[in-house]
Amino acid sequence: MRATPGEGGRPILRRTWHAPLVATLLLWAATAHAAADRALAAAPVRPEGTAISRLAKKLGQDVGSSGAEAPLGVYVRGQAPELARGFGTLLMSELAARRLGPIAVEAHDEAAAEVAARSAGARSLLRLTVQIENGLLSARGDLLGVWVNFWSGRAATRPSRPAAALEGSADADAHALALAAASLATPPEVGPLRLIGATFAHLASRPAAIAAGDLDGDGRDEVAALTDEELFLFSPEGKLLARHEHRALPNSDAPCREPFGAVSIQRSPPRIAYFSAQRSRGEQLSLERGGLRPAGQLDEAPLFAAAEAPLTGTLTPGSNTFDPKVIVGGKLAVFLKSPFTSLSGHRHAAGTYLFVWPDGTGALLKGAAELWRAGGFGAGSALADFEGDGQLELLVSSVKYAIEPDELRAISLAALEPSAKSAARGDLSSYAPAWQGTALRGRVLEATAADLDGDGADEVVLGVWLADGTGELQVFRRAP
Amino acid sequence: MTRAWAIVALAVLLPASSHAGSRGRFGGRLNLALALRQNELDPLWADTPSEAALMGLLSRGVCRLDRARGPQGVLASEMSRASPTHLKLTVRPNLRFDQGLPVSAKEVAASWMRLFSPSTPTPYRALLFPLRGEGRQLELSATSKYTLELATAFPWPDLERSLCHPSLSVTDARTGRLHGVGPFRPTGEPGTFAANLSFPEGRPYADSLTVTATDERGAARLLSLKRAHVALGGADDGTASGAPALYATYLAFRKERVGQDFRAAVEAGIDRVDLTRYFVRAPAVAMPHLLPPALHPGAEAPRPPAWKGSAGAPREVTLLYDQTLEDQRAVAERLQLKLHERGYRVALRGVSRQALRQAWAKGDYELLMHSLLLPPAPAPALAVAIEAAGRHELLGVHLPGLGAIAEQSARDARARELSDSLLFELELVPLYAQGLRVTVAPELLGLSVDPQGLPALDSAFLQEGGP
Repeated sequence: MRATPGEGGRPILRRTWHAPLVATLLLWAATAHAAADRALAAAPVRPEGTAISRLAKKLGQDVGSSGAEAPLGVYVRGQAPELARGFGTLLMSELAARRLGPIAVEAHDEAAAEVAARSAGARSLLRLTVQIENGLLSARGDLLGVWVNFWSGRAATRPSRPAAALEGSADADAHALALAAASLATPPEVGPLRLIGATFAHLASRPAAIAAGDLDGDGRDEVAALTDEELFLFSPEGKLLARHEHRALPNSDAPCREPFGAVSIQRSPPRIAYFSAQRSRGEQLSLERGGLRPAGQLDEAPLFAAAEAPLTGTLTPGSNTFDPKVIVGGKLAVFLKSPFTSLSGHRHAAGTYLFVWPDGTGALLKGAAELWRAGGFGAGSALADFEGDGQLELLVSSVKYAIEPDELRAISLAALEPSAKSAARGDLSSYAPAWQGTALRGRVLEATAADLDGDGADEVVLGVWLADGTGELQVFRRAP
Repeated sequence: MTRAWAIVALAVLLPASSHAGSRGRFGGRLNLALALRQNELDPLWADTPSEAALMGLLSRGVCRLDRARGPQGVLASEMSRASPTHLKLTVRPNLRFDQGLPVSAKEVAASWMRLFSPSTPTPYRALLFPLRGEGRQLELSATSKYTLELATAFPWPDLERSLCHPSLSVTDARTGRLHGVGPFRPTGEPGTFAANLSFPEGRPYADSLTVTATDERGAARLLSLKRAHVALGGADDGTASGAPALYATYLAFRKERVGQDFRAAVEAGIDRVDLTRYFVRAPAVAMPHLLPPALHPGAEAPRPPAWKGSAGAPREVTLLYDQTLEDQRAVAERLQLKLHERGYRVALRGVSRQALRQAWAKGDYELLMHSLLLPPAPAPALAVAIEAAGRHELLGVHLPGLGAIAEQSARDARARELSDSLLFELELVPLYAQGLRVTVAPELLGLSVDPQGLPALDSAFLQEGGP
């Protein structure tokens, strides 16, 4: 039995019979993810392959066992053409491996697809609709025979076989989400937002803090997630790039009983800075040769990596807040009235920051000046530019302590711009949201804007606490 | 009781509509009303659920059980096994008892050694029976300042879970006063405790805690007057509690003193459901087996030996019960009545818990009531029951076989089978098992109940937090 990191920073005791499993995972990870610093032991848990490839494989198996006859026409339509084409390509590869002779059928609807398949010489036809809904990539449709008996004459009667109704789904991931939203490359449409969410990564314990930033300079943001024991770095697609245990840092004399801390990713020099509430010091890390290397310790918590100068603060001992002093570039920049829960900034709003307090109050400050203040902010709130038009939105989680799944609202920042002398804006619930929905599951305790696909429009990555004590990162982006 | 109050279920109680900025809020003073006649804070005696819950605020053990009933380190930073018979336990450095003295492996061993002291006899010593020498040389296991090397005489996979039991909470054995390491520490003012900022699992949400010891009605009144945020052991309002009922009460007897057919007479006379319905506090369940229903779910009621009727003059026996427990007194009176009908003239004698345990340890009783907080694992719970029956020698007979089963569910199943086979062999009549009624005010959030059935008050926070 060994102690491994567990919920709330306390060691979880695991039995030695886990050793073979761990060894197997290590072997798998070493071959599958050679770039990773160390092989995956137990977490984060991530299914093999992308969501699209997993779903294509499942549907391929189902079609193979449904008596489809070659050549098989394949007609796939979907939420976004890119998603449908991508899924169709992988599905036809699966079907070809099963010697079903797939033929891509282009048609404007299902009835036309039947005619097109027949004229293309197919003996059976697979018609599927693929979409992302409620965090699932799903495909639904049917399999039918299109071969016409000579004795039927001109009437296109269907044979009795094959005939099957098909359905399958897989947890959507950032890859599927990117394909679903590929039409965002076109200029953003004006109007209410529509956000769709997917699972970005699973974590064995609850996230204490998350951050996004372009660490490798490819124009797309990586995502860092801090837990009570480790720091994880994910690629824009949600693949684990590296992980780093922070047990070597001295323990805090007054740890927080729940996962809490700060993490930021700065571009120049490329560094990840973090400070866990379980430790008395923070640390800077650099990504070298696929691994995270220590690059110095920190006395202050990295709150936000602003382009001009990093914002730092101090963890309140034993608590899940930061002390009211915020330091910018080594100088006291803001002295708030009370400890705060979270701080969020954005590259489009230099010097402007959203603060959230434990009582659910949020305020937008430019320098030390308060632009507005309102109630109704959950801890998982962030500034983001979903439409890539330079106009910021607020994504806010619920102020409710126990809610499953958490509620999310996106509100245009313009709606909260000061129009009166008072900075007080009442409660966010009195403002019409540009979008309202829920997380895929769990409680949202952290949020950060991230440009995962380099298109200039933001996605928002959420740090989610699940009821079973594990955690999850979810990504929400604008739907086409 | 008004509808405004909610009863704690086993899982976390989280009023969905409450506002807390979505994270727990630190600060404020938590007011606790406790239905308790006596504030017993020695882990060896504090085994009513109310006492254990209060004691757990001031003194914790090396580990606790998580929701999956697996051990998680509290005072221990690591528990690892080099072999099935060797457990290495690392005590966190820089821990201090509430009076300021440091905690090391030696202090942990000394605290556990109290289980073997003649002055503090306790059936919970069975939890340490698998240790080599039955745990009597524990002080030798402290191999370095922060390391305990625990060697067992036979494989005992449940050792870690056993060490999480409240009776093994670590207290300072040097001072003779009960100083521990818990989420709260005494302030010197009676009934008032302050948050321990350096508690290894993190300080509690509340800055301070006040405890008012009262009776059931008093606890309910304090809640309704909003002078308490949580009541432990409050009056029954008819709602069910989801906490596991692991506080088990047995009737121990000495066959050579009360006669061969005593068990049959008891079994013929008592109706366990009646006891739980009319004589003891809810939540309570009838316990026909050695293990409570929470550890032996779905088991069929055993068929007791038939009572053949009494002959001759009434037999005079004395029943010892814990005078601090009203439930025991009520059941003792019921037994007195029912046994009288079956030829036993029972004298009741209420004694202190310490005196009761002393009488048990010496075998100096005819009838005796045992109320024990069983660990939420069948094998260690069975070990405690066997010890309570005074059959210490059976531990060496049965525990090695149980410990040889590595797979937990199979071991648990075997322990249940064994408990069934030992039921009529042991001089112990299981009666009922109780849980702890926990009532919380709506402004208190985040309160959870652990697998032992005890509320984790350090995890609870006030909606409005502190100043």
